[in-house]
Amino acid sequence: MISALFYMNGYGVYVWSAYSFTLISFIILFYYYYSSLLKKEQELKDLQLKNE
Amino acid sequence: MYFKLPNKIVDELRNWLPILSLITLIVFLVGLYFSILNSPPDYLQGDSMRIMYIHVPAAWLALGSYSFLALSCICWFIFRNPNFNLFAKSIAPIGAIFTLIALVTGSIWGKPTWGTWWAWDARLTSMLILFFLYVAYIMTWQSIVNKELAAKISAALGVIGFINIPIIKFSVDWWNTLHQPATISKLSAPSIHISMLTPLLIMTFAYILLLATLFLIRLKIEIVEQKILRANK
Repeated sequence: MISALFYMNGYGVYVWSAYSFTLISFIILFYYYYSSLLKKEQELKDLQLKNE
Repeated sequence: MYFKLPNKIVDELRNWLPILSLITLIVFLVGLYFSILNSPPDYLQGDSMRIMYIHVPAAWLALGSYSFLALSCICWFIFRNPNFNLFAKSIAPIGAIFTLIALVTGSIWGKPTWGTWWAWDARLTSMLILFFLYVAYIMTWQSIVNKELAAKISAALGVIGFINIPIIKFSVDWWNTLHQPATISKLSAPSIHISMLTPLLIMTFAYILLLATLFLIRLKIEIVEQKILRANK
């Protein structure tokens, strides 16, 4: 069952590489954006504190 | 005055970001379950057809994102409201990634289906041009120091590049291409079985949610960056 799922009648290498590329791209993009947002928000907070 | 409206809305939506991210993840997992485990292989293409579930929504949203970008640029030309620039700047890198995913997954799908990773076919070439248009738009903002000038040039580029969208859409009808014609059309019944249409629609919904989440984060980053710039002055 598991090996059939990975092999997919010979198409597994194509299907899994396409899905992996897509999901890894999405995870990296989300992580990068979300961490950038948190960093920028902190930077703004620090700057506002400094200016007060 | 113009700056405050999206800021207020984005601040409100910012609070919903964790919930939106969680919903996106759940819909993605459901979509993946249907795409990989609960849909039949194609009678001709076999299991390689499963790539469609991640390729087609990426291509749709790549086109949709550019249309939104072009519309924002047109609105900027008409109203000169800087909020429209924020919208266009925020959607551009996300649209570029969706285009890249459509190109890469399409190429991987092409190998077992057409016997080649790439062909200078009308649909593929016009999609590659779309990717370059996105990159050019992003580079314009990053490379031009004078932001007034960058706004004008990037908006012009965004509007001119929109010519490519109908070319992509109708390329499979206008030219003989390796790429198959549209499977789902607004004007006719879809030529795809319900067992394959269901995962495709779920994955499309997941992609839309992801696009909305990323767009919201990107928009918030742009607004915070502007506030930092103003605070530094």
